[in-house]
Amino acid sequence: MALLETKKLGINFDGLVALEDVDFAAEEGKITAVIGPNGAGKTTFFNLVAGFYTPTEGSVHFGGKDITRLKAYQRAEIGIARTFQNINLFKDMSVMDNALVGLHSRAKSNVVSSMLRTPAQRREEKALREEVMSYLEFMGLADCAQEKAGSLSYGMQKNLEIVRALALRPKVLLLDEPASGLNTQDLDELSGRITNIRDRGITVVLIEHKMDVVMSISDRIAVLNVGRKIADGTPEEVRSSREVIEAYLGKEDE
Amino acid sequence: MTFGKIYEKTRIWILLIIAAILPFAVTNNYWLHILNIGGIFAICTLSLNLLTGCTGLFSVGHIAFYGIGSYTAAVLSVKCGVPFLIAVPCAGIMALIFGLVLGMPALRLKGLYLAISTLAFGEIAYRVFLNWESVTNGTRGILGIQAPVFFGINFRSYNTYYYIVLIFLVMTVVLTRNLIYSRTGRALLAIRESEIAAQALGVNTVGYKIIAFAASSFFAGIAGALYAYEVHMIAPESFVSTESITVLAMMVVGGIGSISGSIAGAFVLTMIPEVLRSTGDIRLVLYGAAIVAIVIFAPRGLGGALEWLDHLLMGNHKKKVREEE
Ligand SMILES: Nc1ncnc2c1ncn2[C@@H]1O[C@H](COP(=O)(O)OP(=O)(O)OP(=O)(O)O)[C@@H](O)[C@H]1O
Ligand SMILES: [Mg+2]
Repeated sequence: MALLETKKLGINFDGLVALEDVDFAAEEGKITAVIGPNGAGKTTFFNLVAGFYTPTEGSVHFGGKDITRLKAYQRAEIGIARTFQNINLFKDMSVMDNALVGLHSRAKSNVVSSMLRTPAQRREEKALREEVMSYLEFMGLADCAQEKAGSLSYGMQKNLEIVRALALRPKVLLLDEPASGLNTQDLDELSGRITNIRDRGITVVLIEHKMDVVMSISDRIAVLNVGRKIADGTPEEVRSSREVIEAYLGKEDE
Repeated sequence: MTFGKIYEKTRIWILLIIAAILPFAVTNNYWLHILNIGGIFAICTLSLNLLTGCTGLFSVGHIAFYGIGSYTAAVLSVKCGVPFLIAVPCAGIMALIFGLVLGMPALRLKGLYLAISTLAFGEIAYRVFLNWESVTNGTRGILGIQAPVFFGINFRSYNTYYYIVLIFLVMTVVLTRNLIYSRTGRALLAIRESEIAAQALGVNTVGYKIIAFAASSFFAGIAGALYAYEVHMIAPESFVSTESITVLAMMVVGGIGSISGSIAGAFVLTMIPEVLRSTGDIRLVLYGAAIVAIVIFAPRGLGGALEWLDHLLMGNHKKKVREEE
């Protein structure tokens, strides 16, 4: 069953059509890749799904419900997590605190219980920290939990983006180019982690330019080109589609 | 046990003991008054720090909430005979309500626009204090605010009222500190760092900005109430816009986002003009120069300098070096 779906989704910015008529479905528990040349509208697609842009046409559905009207934070609450292509961390906060913000909507303590540090609040805080630690360990960041996020290396910052999103306990995880800027060794590690995340039951939607990563871990692939979906299917199907080869694969290594 | 360890374990108590015996060392009434004002402004600066330092919402009208608290306490006390322990929280709540009134529409605004609207709010509040004669007595102000009496002790003299200010300051520090290191505080800091990322992680940014406004104006209102009981008479000129700038300066000099810094900034900037009193007209120039000097020589504010000293005394300045790079 499709957990996340868009129907005839489109948006234009002052007349410039960035995305048009996109029917997309991400199967529950699968990795679905979204690929396409630069400027194809992939990030715009994520922004529409995550609620940062309002579509000019079409709708977004999640678990069978129309969520087109929900605000970004409400979509996060119901289990849609995303990472940012241009790293968007809380730079002056510690790695730990960055990850803890991810658990925000899963925690209950409020202003008053926080100020008074009630026993319930303290218990919750301890549990949150333990949970976050497990995500940090999973992404290899446990040793720098107390460092400032801004002081981490590029690769580690990319990993922290994923930790933060995982802390949301998402049903679907939108990854926007997690592999960009990583070296070959880190790439294998990342691929392993993404499949691991899927095996935990989290649906993954992956934007990625690195074709070896996409082809090796994706269950399905959708291809965007100049704002339109031009193909979708299994990696084999997409790889052999003429339209895709013309639009995209020809200039894979740009 | 090393010196560093002992220091780390006892520093809070040492600080509290020094604070507790200070009125015995400072016997000059005038300086006790300055100390009390410093403590009251420290509460006000801590409250601004929640809003501007932690959440990144610029307010240049903060003294309005302080003034609202001050007038609320004064009116309740003088005109209605309400006791101190009820008047002070009421002052905080009244300021909080106005914080919500300002916060809700103002939050649609960003950056400079928000700053300007808070400035306008401060100006409006001042005009109301000035012109709403039937309640505020206009320029004449409200006189005869009686000092609180507990257990038969009258807290009228500066060296007794000092302890009331100290208790409120300590409470404010504990509460705001707890807040900053909690789910709510992290949400506020996240908003300051990146609103987009905060939303992506499920933070209702509008809701939390309103919370920041409410909490911040509440503590400012409490500070204002304490001020009313310190000086026994209040008048509009204590709540002019330049006072908002003074509080902002205290926060910046202290170090944005720092609790110890806000306190240090408030005390230092309250005292500098008094120390310079003998210099006459050049006083304001020296005051400005002092602020500039602090900002230049302590880029992370007085709070940053205190933190550095703290690490040095604890003996783990290695950690510090790593943080600097
Ligand atoms: N907020 C915006 N305002 C105006 N135009 C926008 C906005 N966001 C995206 N666009 C335009 O939409 C088009 C698609 O951009 P998008 O960032 O989605 O591409 P992409 O597929 O993610 O590319 P890349 O692979 O380089 O990340 C571009 O032409 C871009 O200029
Ligand atoms: Mg993109």
